[in-house]
Amino acid sequence: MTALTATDTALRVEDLVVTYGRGHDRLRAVDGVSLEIPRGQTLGIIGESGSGKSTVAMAVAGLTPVTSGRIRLAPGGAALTDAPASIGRGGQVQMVFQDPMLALSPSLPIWKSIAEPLAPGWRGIPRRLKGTAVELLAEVGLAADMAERRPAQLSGGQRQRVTIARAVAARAPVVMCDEPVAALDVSLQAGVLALLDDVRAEHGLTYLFISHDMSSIARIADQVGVMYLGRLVEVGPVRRVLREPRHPYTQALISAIPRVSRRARRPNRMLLPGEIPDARRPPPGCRFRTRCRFAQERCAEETPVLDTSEPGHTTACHFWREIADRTPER
Amino acid sequence: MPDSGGLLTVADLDVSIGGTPLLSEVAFTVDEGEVVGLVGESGSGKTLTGLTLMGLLPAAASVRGTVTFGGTDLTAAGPEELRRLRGNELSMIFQEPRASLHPARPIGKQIVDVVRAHEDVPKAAARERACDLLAQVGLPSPVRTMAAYTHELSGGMCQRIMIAMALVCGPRLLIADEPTTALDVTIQAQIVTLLRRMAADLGLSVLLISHNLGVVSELCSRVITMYCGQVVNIDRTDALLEQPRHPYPQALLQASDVDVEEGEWTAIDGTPADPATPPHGCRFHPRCPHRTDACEAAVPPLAATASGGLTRCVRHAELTLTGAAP
Repeated sequence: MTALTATDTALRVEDLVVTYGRGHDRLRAVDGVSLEIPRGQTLGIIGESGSGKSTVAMAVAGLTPVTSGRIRLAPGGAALTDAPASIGRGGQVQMVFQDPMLALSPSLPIWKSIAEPLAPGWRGIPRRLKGTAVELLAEVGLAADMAERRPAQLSGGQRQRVTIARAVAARAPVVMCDEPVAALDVSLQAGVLALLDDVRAEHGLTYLFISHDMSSIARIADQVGVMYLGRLVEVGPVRRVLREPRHPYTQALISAIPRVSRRARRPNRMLLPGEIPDARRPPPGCRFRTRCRFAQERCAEETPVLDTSEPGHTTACHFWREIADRTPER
Repeated sequence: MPDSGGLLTVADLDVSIGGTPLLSEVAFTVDEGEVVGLVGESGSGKTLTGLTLMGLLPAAASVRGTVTFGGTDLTAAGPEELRRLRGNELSMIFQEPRASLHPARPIGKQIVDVVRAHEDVPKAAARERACDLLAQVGLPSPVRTMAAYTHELSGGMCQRIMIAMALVCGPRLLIADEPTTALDVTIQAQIVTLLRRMAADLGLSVLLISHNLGVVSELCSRVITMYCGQVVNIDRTDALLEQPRHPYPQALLQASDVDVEEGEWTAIDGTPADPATPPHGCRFHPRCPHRTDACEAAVPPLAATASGGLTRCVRHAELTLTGAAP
C-alpha cells in the first residue's frame, strides 16, 4: 500500500476529543479518535448507543464544539488544511440525519427544502430554483409532480430521498450520514443505501457513514471503524474486518446479528454480557475489558492502542493475535 | 381449518378505523406454549392485530369476526372482563419500553400496581414477587432497580422490566410488538435469549410481532406473514426458510437475509399497498415478479400448501421459490 498524498485524502481527523457536561458529570464522548477517508470513499463507523459515533459526525460537521484535536479538509481538491470552525465547515460538510421528518421543515414544499442550501440568507427561496430542485428530485428517484408536496405527504423512504437530494444540492464534498436508514423498513433500506452509493459515485463525494447496524455498513462502506466508549477499537477494510474480526468487541457485534439461516441455532454464538459502562466513569485500561471474556490483568493496567503493525487493519487489543485463533462461529 | 385446541383462534377478523378498512379476513391460531412470529412491512397490520387482541383499539374502530382466547370471545367481552383478562391472561410489550413505563414513579411501585390491580395480595408479597421476577429477567440488582426511575435505566434494562411487568401475573399469551427493534444489536441478542428462556420456563405462548425475519427465525416455530391488512402466508419456520410458498415472504426473506461478509442485499420493488385502497385481486401483485393475469382477477383464498401451511398465492403449487441460505 502506498502512502496517501495529501490530495488523495478528503477528510482527516486527528486525535479528536469532544467532552460534554462539567464537573462530576463531565464525560469524554469522543476520546482521542483519529481517522482518514480517501476521496470518493466511505468510512463506516459502527458502535452501540453511547459509543460516541454520532458525536464524531457532529464534530466533523461543526455542529458540536471540538474540545481538542484537528479536523482537516481539502477544499477544492487542494492540500489538507484546518477546517473553519463554522457549522458545515464553510460549506464543505453536509449531513443526512436519521429522522427525515425532523430534518425537513413540515410546512415547506419539498422542492424548497432541497433548494434552501442554494439560497442562503433569510430572504426566502426564489421560484427560479424549482427547476434545479426538480432535477435533484429526479436524481433521487422521485417524480417531478411530488415537488409541491409537504413531508407529511411522503413515505419514510421518500422523505429520506429528499434529504439526500438536499445534501447533494449544497455541493459539499464531504457528507456525514448519521444512521440514514435506521428508521426505515428493512425492505426499503437496500434501496436508499444503493441511492446513497450512486450519488456518491456520481458526484465524487466522500462519506462518513454512522450506523449501529453492521449489515448497512457492509453494504455501503469501503472501510469500517468500530467504536466503543469514545474510542476506535478496530479499523480496516470492511470485508476483511467482517471475515476476520480481531477485537473481541467486533467479534461480539458480528456474532449478535440476527441471521435468517436454516442452520440450527448457532451454539458458539458470542453473547456479550452486560451493557456499555457509564462514559463519565470509564473503566481504566481497556474500556471493553468489563464485558470481555478474554480479559486479563494487563487489560486493567495498560490501555491498548491501535496496533499498526499491519497497515490498513489496526486493532486496539493487547491479545488480538492470541484471540484470532479462537474466533467464535458467526 | 382447525377451530379448536388452540389457545388463541382468530377467525375472519375485519377491523376498520373511522370507516377505513385496515384488516381484512385475518385468521390464525396460536397453540398453548407456542412461539409464533407475525411479520410484514410497516402498515401491513401487524401492530393493529396485536392491539385488537388486547382490546386496545380506539373508539372509532369497528371490529367484525371472532377472537377466541381460552374459550372466551374477546370481541364480545365487555370492558370489565377485558380489563381482568389483560395482564392476567394475555399481556403485551411494545417497541419503545421507556414510553410504556411511568417516568415519575419508581419501577417497583409500577410492578406492584399491576399485581394488586389483578390480585388481592398484601403489598409486601407483591413486592417480593416483583423483585423475584426482576432477578429472573436478568437485572443485576433487583432491589436497587425497584427504587429506580426509567431515566436512570438503559433501553435494554427498561425492556427487561417491561417483560417482568408483563409476566408478573402469569399470563398465558405474551404479545411482543417489535421488542428488540429500538435496542442495540448486542442487547437485542440478550433480549431474544431472555424471551426464549422465559417462554420455555413458563410454558408461555408468544406472538412476536417483528419486521426482522432474523429475530423471528431464531425464536419462532411458526411464522404468519401479513401484507396490506391480510394474512398472506402461514408456515412452519423451517418450511418457510427452506421453500417459501408465497412471493411476499420470499421477498422479505431476501431483504433480511443479508450476506454480511459479501454485502449482498436485495430490496423489494415498489412500496407497500395502502389497505384503504387495496389493489384488485392479490394485493401483492403490483410488486410481484411472478404475477399473471389470474392474480388480478380475484382475491386468492388462503389455500393449504404442500408444506402443511396456508398461502394466499394462486401460483403456489407451480412456483418453486428459493428460501434462505442453508
